[in-house]
Amino acid sequence: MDPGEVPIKTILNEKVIIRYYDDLRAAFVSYFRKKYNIDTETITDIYQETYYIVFKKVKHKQLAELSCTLKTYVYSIGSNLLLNELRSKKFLTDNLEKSLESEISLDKDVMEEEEEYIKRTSIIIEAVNRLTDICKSIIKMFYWEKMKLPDILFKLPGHQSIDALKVQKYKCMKKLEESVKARFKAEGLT
Amino acid sequence: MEKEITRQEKIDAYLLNQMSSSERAEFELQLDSDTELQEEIRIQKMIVEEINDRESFLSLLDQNKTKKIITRKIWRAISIAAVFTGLLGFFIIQPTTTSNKKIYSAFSDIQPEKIEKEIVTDPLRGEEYIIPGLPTTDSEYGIKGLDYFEREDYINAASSFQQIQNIKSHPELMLYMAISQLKSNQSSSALINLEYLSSLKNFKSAELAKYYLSLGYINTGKVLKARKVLKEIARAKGTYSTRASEMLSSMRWF
Repeated sequence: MDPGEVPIKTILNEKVIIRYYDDLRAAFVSYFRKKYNIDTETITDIYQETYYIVFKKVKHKQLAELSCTLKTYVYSIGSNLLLNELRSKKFLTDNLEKSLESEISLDKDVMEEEEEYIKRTSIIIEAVNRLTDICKSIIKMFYWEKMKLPDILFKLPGHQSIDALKVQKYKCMKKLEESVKARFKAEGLT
Repeated sequence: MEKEITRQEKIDAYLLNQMSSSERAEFELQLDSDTELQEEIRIQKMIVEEINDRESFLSLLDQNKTKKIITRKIWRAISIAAVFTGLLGFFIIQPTTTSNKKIYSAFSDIQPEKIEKEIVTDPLRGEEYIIPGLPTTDSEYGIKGLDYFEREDYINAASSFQQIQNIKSHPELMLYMAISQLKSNQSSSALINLEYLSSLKNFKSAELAKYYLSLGYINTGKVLKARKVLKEIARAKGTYSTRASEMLSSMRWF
């Protein structure tokens, strides 16, 4: 079966969805690049972000109710992300907007939910990306790699002590939290 | 600051599932009545989840990529190994399994045409055979050689024929000599003589000379040369074309 035609609700976990990443990429990039005259780098980034959303939804079992195929879902989310990208760069004309909206085959209410989800995700990742490099490293090592503070201290020798590192980690997380909270509020998200 | 850090440590332990069940129960009790803490946890949970999902996504993509590269490398190695194994098998087994030695012994039974002899009466020695057209001494060596050849004493046969001064003038006898050389393991001499005889025009046993030449090539491992000569014989549709075809189909390819 063509990977794009796989019903999305049958994809049970993140390891399975990752296997299809390469299968859909070339067709996706080529389709949007040619149809909307978008440069390859931008559309490749859009695909990566789109697929991340799919991955995240599969991981948290949030697609079990959807009856569409993987391709329909990927192209709908991709079109939405491309709309946002062109809008933010002020490249979006009325015709382009209409055309891209017609690519979205998901139900309106489903798409509204997805849009909110995408917005939350991008707000958080933008906030993380705005942190200083040292803050990003501490947050990643502590929350993703689950490293203990003495090990982080060993890897980041700029700190004098565990206590100093604790303070730094606290400040990084608070900054992140405040930034996300403020953006959620500004975007009308709860 | 110390108080805030302790509070953050508790949030971390809660979010990273590092609390014992009693600690968790106590913390959740506090959480029920502290809306500010609830909000902190809600936002931080989203942040931690996002960081973990992103890293997990990138890490799985990397693993998948590495897996595909490794799979490609393994398949490439398997293909190369298969080609080598196939070639090795081909060289060892080949489409036919008859060895060169077996072919040589199975097909080297054809006798050359009988050499015409005459009986003459010598006043001193009485009746004796001679080979017409040869000087007396050469004729004697020729008769001796033929005698040895009939008794399958090919070493002495070859030795007798080699004494003939101008054997090239008697190609039929020369063929006997070449076959005797071949059958007595004097392959290089045999091949030189058989190549010469095969190239002779108007030599009525040229086909047999070629036939033995191919056997000489087989015997010395020059299989490609043997195949070439045998194909010529088979195509010519002469006396030995059937045997040449049989030999071709039993031969190894290299």
